[in-house]
Amino acid sequence: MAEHYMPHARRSKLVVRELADETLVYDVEGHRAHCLNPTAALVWGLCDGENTVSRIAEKMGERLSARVPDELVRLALDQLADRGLLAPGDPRPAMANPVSRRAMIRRLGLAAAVALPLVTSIISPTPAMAQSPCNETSCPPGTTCQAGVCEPDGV
Amino acid sequence: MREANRKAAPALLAAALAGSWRDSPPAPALAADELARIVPLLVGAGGAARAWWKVRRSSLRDCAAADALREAYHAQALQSALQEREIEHVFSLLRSAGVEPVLLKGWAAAGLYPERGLRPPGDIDLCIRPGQYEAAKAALWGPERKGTALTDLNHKEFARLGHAGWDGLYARSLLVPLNGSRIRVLGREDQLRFLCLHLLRHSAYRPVWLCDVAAALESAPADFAWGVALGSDATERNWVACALNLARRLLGARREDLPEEACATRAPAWLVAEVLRQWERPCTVDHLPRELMTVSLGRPSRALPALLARWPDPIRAAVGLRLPFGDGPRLPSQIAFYSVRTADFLTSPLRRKRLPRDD
Repeated sequence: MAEHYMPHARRSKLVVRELADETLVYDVEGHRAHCLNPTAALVWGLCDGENTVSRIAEKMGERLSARVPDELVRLALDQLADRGLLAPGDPRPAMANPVSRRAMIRRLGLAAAVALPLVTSIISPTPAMAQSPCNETSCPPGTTCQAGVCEPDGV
Repeated sequence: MREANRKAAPALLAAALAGSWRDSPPAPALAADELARIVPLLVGAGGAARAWWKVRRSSLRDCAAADALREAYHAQALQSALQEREIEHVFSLLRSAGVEPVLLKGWAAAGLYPERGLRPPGDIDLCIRPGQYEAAKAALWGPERKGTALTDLNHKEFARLGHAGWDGLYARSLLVPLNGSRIRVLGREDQLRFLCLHLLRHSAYRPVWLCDVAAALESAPADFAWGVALGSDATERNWVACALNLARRLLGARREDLPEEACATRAPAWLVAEVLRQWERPCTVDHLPRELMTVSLGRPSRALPALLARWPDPIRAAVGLRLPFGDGPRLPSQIAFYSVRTADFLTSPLRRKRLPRDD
C-alpha cells in the first residue's frame, strides 16, 4: 500500500511566493503562513498525485545530482501534512516501522547529501500590515482618516 | 571612547540599506550590536526586508537581530503577493468603468528590486486622466463598496499636469504583466522623476524612498531619456538632480552616464544634513496625520504644541514654495511657507465653498 501511495499537494486557497532561498505559502482560509526550505518545496512541487514516494525521491535525485532516500521524502510529507499543505483526503499511509522524527532526522542528517526538509510556521500577514496610513484624501466615502486609519464616520 | 565612536542611527541606516536594491548587494558595513540598535527603525520604516537581503549572505545572518529582519522579509513577501490580487481587482473595476489608471510607487516601484517583496506594499496609488476622478471614485467606492484596498486617487505631483501633461505621461506608460492581467505603470523616466519628487515632498524622512530613487537610477536602461526624467520645469530639474545626488552620496548609488546637468548639481550641505536629521525619525508611525488644526485650536492646551508642530523643515518649505535647493539661508523660506500655510488655513472655509473637487 505504502509503495503505491501518490501524495497530492493542496493547491487551492493558498497564496504561494517563491523567494530566492525559500518558498512561502499563505493559507487564505486558515490564515496560517509557512516557510518551506528548498528541499521541502521540491517535494511539495512533485506531489502531483501521480508520483509515488520513490519516484519523487528519484526525480529529486536527478535535479539535485545526489542520492535522495525515500525517508527524506517521507519526512517532508509528514511536515507538509502537519501544516495542511497536502490535499484534503490525501490517503497518506501510516509508516510500516514508525520511528521518531528526531531519530529519523539524526539518521538522515548523517546520510543525506541534500539539506533536510523543513517547513516552519511564520507570522501571517494581515490586510492592515499591507497598508500605509491614510491621509485626508485617501479614505473612501463614509469614512474619515483618523490617526492614519479610515474609520467609519460618526465613530 | 567607544561612546565617542558610536555611529548615529541615520548613518547606520544608510550602511544597512546601501546597495540593498541590487541582485548581489554588498555586505553590510555594520557590527551585530549596531544592527541590533537600528532593527526597530528598519522595521518601522519599511526597510527591514531590504536590510535582510543584505544580511542574509553575511556573517550577521545568524545574529539575534537578524531574526526580526527575516520575519519582516517573509511578512512583506506575502503581503506583496496578497496585494497583487487587490491591484488586479482595482484595475478590473476601473477598466469596467472606462477608466484606465496608471499605478504609481508601491508595486510599480517594487519591480525595481530583485524581489517585489523587498519593498513594503503600501496603499494602491493611482493616477487617472483629468476629468475621470468622479467615475473612478464611483467605480471603486460605489453604492456598495467593492474595493477593499486603500486606494489613493489624489496625487499632488500630478495635479498640475492638465490634459497635455497627462497625454505625454500616458503615452510613455508601460503595461507590466501580473498573473493574468496587465497593469499600467509609469514609464521609466516618469517613474524616476516621480520617486524623486515624492521623496522630497515628504522631506525624505524614510530612507527606503531614497533606496527607490537609487534603484531606479541604477536600473535605467541605456536608452533612458534623461531629459524626460529631469522634466521641463527648472525647479523640478533641480529637485530631481539633487535627489539623485543624495542617492549617490548617502546610499552609494552608482551611475556613470548621468547627463551633465545631473552630474553638476550637488545637493547643498544643509540638504544632506537635513535628510540625515529626518532619518532620526524614519518610522511611519512618527509621521501619522496630525489632529486637525480646527480641533487643536478648540482646546487651549493643544493649540501651542499644534502650532509648533507645524513649523516646516527647510525641505518642506522649499518644495512647498517651489524653490530650488540652493546654498542660501533657509529661515526666510520656512517663515514664508509657514505664513502661506497659515493664510491657507484661515481662508480654507471660503475656498472650500468656491472650488469644485474635480478638475
